[in-house]
Amino acid sequence: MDSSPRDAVRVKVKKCEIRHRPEYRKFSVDPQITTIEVLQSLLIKAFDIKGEFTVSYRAVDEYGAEAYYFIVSDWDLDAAFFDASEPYLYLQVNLKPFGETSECESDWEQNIQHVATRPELGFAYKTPRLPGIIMNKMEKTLNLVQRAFGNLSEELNQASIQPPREPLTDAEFRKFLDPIGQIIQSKELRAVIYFGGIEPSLRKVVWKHILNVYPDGMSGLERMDYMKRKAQEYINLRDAWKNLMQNGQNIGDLGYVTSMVRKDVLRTDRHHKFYGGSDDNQNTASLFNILTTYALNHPSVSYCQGMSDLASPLLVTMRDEAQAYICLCALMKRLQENFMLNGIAMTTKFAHLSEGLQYYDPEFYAYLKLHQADDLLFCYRWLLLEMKREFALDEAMRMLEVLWASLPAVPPPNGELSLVEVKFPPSSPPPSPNIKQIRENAYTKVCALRRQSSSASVNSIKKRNINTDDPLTENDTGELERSISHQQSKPESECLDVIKNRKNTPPEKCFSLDSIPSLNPKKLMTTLLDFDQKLGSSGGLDQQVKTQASKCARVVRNLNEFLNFTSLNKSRVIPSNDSEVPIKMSTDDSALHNNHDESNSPDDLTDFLPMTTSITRELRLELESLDRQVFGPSPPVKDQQCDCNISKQEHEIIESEAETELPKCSPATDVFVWENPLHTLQNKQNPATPDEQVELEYDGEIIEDQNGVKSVTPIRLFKQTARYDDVSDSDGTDSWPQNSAATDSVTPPVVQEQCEEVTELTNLIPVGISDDEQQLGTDSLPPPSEFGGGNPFLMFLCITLLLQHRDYVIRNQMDYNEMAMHFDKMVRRHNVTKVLNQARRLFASYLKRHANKSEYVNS
Amino acid sequence: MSYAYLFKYIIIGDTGVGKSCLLLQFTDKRFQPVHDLTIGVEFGARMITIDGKQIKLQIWDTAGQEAFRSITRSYYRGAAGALLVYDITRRETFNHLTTWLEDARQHSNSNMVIMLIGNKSDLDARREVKREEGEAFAREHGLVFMETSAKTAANVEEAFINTAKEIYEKIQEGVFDINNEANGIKIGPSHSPTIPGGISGPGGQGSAQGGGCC
Repeated sequence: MDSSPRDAVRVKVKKCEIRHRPEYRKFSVDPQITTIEVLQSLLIKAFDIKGEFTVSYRAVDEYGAEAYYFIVSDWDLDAAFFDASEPYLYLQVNLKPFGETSECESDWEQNIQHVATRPELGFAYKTPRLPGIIMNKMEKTLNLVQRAFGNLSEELNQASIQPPREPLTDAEFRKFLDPIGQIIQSKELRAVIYFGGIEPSLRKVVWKHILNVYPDGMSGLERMDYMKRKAQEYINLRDAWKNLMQNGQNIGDLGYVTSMVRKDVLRTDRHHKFYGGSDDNQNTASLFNILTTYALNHPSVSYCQGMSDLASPLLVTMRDEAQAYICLCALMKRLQENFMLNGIAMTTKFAHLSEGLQYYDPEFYAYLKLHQADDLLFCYRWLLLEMKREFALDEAMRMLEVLWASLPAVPPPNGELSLVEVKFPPSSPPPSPNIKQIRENAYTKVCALRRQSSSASVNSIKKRNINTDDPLTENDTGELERSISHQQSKPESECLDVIKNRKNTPPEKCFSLDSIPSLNPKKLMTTLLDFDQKLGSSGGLDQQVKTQASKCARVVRNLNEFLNFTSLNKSRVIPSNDSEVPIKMSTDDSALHNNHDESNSPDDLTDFLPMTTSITRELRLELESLDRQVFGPSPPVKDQQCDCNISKQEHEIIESEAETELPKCSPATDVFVWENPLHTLQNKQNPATPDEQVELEYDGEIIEDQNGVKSVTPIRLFKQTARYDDVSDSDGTDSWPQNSAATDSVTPPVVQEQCEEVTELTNLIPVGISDDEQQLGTDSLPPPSEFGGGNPFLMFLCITLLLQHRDYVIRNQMDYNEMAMHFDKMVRRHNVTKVLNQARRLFASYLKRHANKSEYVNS
Repeated sequence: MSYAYLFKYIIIGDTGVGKSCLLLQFTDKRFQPVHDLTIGVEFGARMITIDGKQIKLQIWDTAGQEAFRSITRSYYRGAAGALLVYDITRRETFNHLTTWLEDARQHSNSNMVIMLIGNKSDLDARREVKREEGEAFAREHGLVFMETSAKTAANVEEAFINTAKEIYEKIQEGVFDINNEANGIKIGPSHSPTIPGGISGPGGQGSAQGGGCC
């Protein structure tokens, strides 16, 4: 990316209109001051356009193919300037919105008419002549808000296109190893990766650490042996089914899985050079082997579409089938629940995303609601694949490592990462003419078991869970009450029974874990905030380690402990929120492990929990016909809760296999990471109630562009996101001088500046006294251990994408479909650095609030 | 962009039968042999003209794999038309039609128009399902039937448009309650398609023209 600002970009434009000959123009613009609005007005002027139109630019993508990308926002335009403006920026104007850009032939050089332009005067063209584009003041404001979001403070463009830190280098990585190669500061390592990613050449090594492939405390040699052993284990697993296949026994499940996987690997990242070329690409074949082995040896998950997207970057990085398989197993420990047929984990994530969006952008949420898009189903792919497909593969790898690094380290329990759930083919009588029968039976049994236990788990949910919210309502906290009553009056929904049953059951029955001695919730919070601190504070790594050790954060390695923990935490601080039920349920699922139902009958699903969204949607439609009020969320219901439910999933995250372990306290190093050791902060802001959230605050802000042109613009502050806005203009009670002072030490001087920014952001948390507990809990998002099903950063990535496109969506008055199409068209086109930067900022402020809260509770 | 009606479609069927390719052929008039596998649902839209009226088709292309059915189901609701697709070169995709149909009938409104589509008709050499079988299945279940090729575009327009025609006729007959959006039909912002609605002003006419396909 060419980051050096240029004075002028030469632009060639072709206008395409159905049934007309293309027209050409050329002109120059100053990339520093040309916004999309300016560009649009230039184009209108140049071609005398009267209708709506779209603008796209020509780029040669990573695969060497020419492609047109829509310019729909300022950052698209920035991307065009940066990526595709040498020697000319080729634009195509289509008079039909989102039309077929490829239909015009690319005879660029002929007939170009020169247009004299003075980009500085671009604004002069912003006249009411723009029929399709609303250009009123509000629009400008929104645009600037978006910019403000994308570009913190004055570093208008630079900041947002620079990561806060350079990628981890080999030399730096070595600092995290002791003389025998043990990782000594895994949290700090994660922090460094979280801020800057990893140099691509180093990924092969470091990914295995952040994916939790290795048990704790292994030396370099031990790791090598371990991987060797694991790789051999994989080879054996793979050869088992390969042999069957070669013997012509590609039948039953083997046949089913292989045909499904084959179909999908042939359309997974094929435009990337690694998987490109003909269908017999060896890497594609490796991907096939990996996925087939995984599916056959994990019958409760089997193969589901989307897994190929998850495995693909692992193979690209590892360049080794066995190692990629091992990584996939580690990754799937966390993600398998996404693929469960009951959809519970996904439902939770949708619910949390919805909550998050309501919190950060109530106005946009209201817009979505108005267009019945607040189910956010168009984000399904984001959540299922953890955004992998939203970025070009190479950029997706950066995003993924940052995301993985944002998660707590969860070393495989029992000193060993398990590569199988149930070995395939299941050990049964030796091969015989009946082998087919036997194998099928064995598998069928597993499936049947899965189904049974699944219904069992649902039943148990029905019986045990009193928890209030049902998945139906969770998308819509504000309307919880109404929804519930509504459900009760709506007997046709299968969920009702579930709900009622849940309601009738006393909380204690959820899990009988309440007897475990409670832990101090505050110890749980070892956060990335912490990372911030560390990065920015202390004189060096060693010192950090000491500090860390002395913190002796509590390790929660046990389900009971954990449950109790969060239950305490929950009951004291966090209001019952809608997320609980789905979490709890997925927990039930995961606890049973084999209960995943893969029934072939679609009807089985509806027996328990129909996807939240359809029902909520329906409910909501009806509700809305009763109550047209868009902006009036009713007060959240928080009296019902079953705290113990929450944490099972966390347990799952922390330690999915060691459910029987006893509680213990371990050194800080293998801790659950959400802790802010600096407990001195208090939240100055009183958390707003949901009602308050809806209000917007307007604040004057001076925007100065790089030409020095100042404009005072009302910038909307999303209430309570508080966030970096407040932070940056600093409610400057900098309570952590020590940190700011020490900023320089950790990161290389090169990146010092950015680092400071980050540290500053996270350090400048407003200090104040929190109000009473109730208020603390009122409006808050779920805590980091729960938010996004235990992956809060993913939520912020999603929210960031929504925020970055909200202006465009609103400006164009997009309906549900158009919005979904818009985001579909953005696949692989989001700018990873900008998205990560904004997501990190949101995440930092979120962690801060939660750190404060937990501090309050414990004081 | 103004339209007289908006119809919501859903495309369903086994994985790999060409649902996304049919959609792409219809909306973009192109065939993309290597297409990302659909996760959850993807979306498309196009204007067509029936009886002189602009009709906007809003098409939801669903993932075929079973794991997504819990989400797919939530899309049946509020669809006026469904394209149920199988692959004529893979018998099993035909065998699964009954399940799909049951699923669709169970979760959609009863008036939803379902078009059965045998796709990949260009691959006649590898055909495993005879045309007659498709016709028989359609007859038996009261569906409209067509063989298409997303690759050559054969019958693709017709499949989408004929479905729309049928929905349109049902509207004329008063079968659909067009005021209930849950039926997958919406009346356009302006009742008369000749008056451009919304904010587009002079752009209205242009865009209406541009959207026309036939």
